[in-house]
Amino acid sequence: MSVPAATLRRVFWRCLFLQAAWNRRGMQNLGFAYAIDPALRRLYADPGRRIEALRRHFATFNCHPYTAAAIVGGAIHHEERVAAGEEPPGAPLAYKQVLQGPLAAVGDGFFWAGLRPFFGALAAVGTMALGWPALVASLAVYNALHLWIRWSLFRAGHRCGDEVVTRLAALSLPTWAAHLRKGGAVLCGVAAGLFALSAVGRLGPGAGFLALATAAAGLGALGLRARLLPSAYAAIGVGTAAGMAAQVFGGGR
Amino acid sequence: MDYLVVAVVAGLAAVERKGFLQAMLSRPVALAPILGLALGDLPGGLLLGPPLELLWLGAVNMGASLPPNEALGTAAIAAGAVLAGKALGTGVTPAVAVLAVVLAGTLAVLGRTTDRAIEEWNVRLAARAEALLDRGSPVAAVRENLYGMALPFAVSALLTPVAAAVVAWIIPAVLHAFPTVDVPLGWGFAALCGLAAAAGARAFRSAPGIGLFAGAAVVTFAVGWLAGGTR
Amino acid sequence: MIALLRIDERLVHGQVLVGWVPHLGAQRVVVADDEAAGSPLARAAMTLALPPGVTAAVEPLRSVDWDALARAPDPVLLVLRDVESAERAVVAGLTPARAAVVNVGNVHYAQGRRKVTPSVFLTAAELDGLRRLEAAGFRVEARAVPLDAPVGLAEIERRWNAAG
Repeated sequence: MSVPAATLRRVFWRCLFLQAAWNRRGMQNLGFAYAIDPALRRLYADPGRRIEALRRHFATFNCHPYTAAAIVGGAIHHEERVAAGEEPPGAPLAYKQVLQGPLAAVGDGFFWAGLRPFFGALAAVGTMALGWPALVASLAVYNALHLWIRWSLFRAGHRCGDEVVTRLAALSLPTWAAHLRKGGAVLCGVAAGLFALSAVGRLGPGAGFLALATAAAGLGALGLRARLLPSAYAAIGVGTAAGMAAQVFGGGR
Repeated sequence: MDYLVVAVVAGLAAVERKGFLQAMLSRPVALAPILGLALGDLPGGLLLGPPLELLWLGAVNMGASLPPNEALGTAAIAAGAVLAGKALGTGVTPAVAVLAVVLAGTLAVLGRTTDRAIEEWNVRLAARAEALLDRGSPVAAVRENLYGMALPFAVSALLTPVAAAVVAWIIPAVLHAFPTVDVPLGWGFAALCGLAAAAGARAFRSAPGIGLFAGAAVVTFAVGWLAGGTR
Repeated sequence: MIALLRIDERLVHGQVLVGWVPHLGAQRVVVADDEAAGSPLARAAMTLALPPGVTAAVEPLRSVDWDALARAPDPVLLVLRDVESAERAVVAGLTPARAAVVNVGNVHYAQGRRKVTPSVFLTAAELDGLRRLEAAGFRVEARAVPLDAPVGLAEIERRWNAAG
């Protein structure tokens, strides 16, 4: 027994709402049940069995919203076997419980700490250097990438079940993430340079050097775990004071 | 009318950020220009997007731990700055931008508190869904999931216009009362941008990245300087 | 040395690998858990997210060599599933000299558990377990990621009682 393609597409669409009702007890449980429900409706004609199946997906669940697509796909893989009587009813839940932590780690490490901030920095640099077309292009590429990866993970989970882990391992995402983090840091450096150049253009060389000096000081302070917003306020205060001093003593611009 | 636009955009951003999609549309780099466009000052939004993005590059939702709400902070800052720029007739200048950050930046921290409250409140939605399932209504049970997007929308759609209105009222008053602070505040904005770039580099938590950041900054600045690209 | 003993129902995930591993400078994660060690899927999954240069071992709790971990020159992050596992580890030879800090990261809500932090819910028995660990000389704290403020045992008890 298998779930038809149209229903799979519907489930994937619903995966995009995984965190709509993120709550402190079940976390993404309601979102997971919402996503998988169309597949369960197909697999269990008997209303009693469908409700019983849906109920097990109300168990606490939390994963990365992108990589969770693989688990939704894999849970359908196991539900198909439960419906056919090939696996015990506990199999889908066991699958979810084993994979949620590791796939959350992959998603957090690769997407949240790698790909997305990389594209954030890329979009920022693009905006400064080339204007809005570069911003739109960066966002378009990011969206094509994450939607394609989410869909591929969902399909791989549905087709291969447990084997999805091997497939994911072959992608060596942590290594890519390390490259993206280095690239992202370079982009932030480029951004610092562009900020400084723009300050030189507006206010003179002093303001440009101020921007670079603040970047260096900020790097040190944040490295010593200074808090973000207070650091920003301090930078603004020091910068404004420097501007006043330049105005008083420089006389010029 | 402007405030209605602000409310809708900020509300949708709050939903996109967590409940639906996660396509970077609620990230500062996109949200500030979107608000600028919606309010008729795209250049103002484009000025604010990059520094706010880098400042909050590390604001990611990992597991059950919550970061500051960068979308709420950005929405209030960008909307407030654009509306202040309109009132002044100057558009978003660096001085307007930096004052908006000072006045509305803390909304990101407040947003973390409201996010936590929303997550507590959503426990009821999950409980209600389970009760509906017990009564034999699976379709109604899972639909409860979608209602979870109402509260983030409402909170953001209420807080943002209020904060933006305060910002848009204070900034013109300050700049009219102290016209000489315009240039020094421009320096303040330059310093904020420098700090934001550093915060972005730190967010990547890459030890070799720190040296790469410094190198790239110096090279970019030197090349731009020599090429006369100081805009 | 054992840099941190982490209690986490989700074992290895983002908070552990993106938060704690770089924070502690750990190059090795040891998961001491019978259930995970018995599942090939779990063992394969644990290694999925490891950053380059970091290794992970998944072992049944009873076969962990606590002394070797404590003597290792590099910082090791030890992950256990729940408070009960931590107590079993102590019976098996884990001492405060070998792992000074017990960090309670994620213990999900369940019937009979009371909330002490947004990510930690405890039963009365688990709270007693933490008291015994503290009395044995471990420093008990609750927090999800390094950037959170640590919540000590006294505060955990206060919140647990207040949540009743």
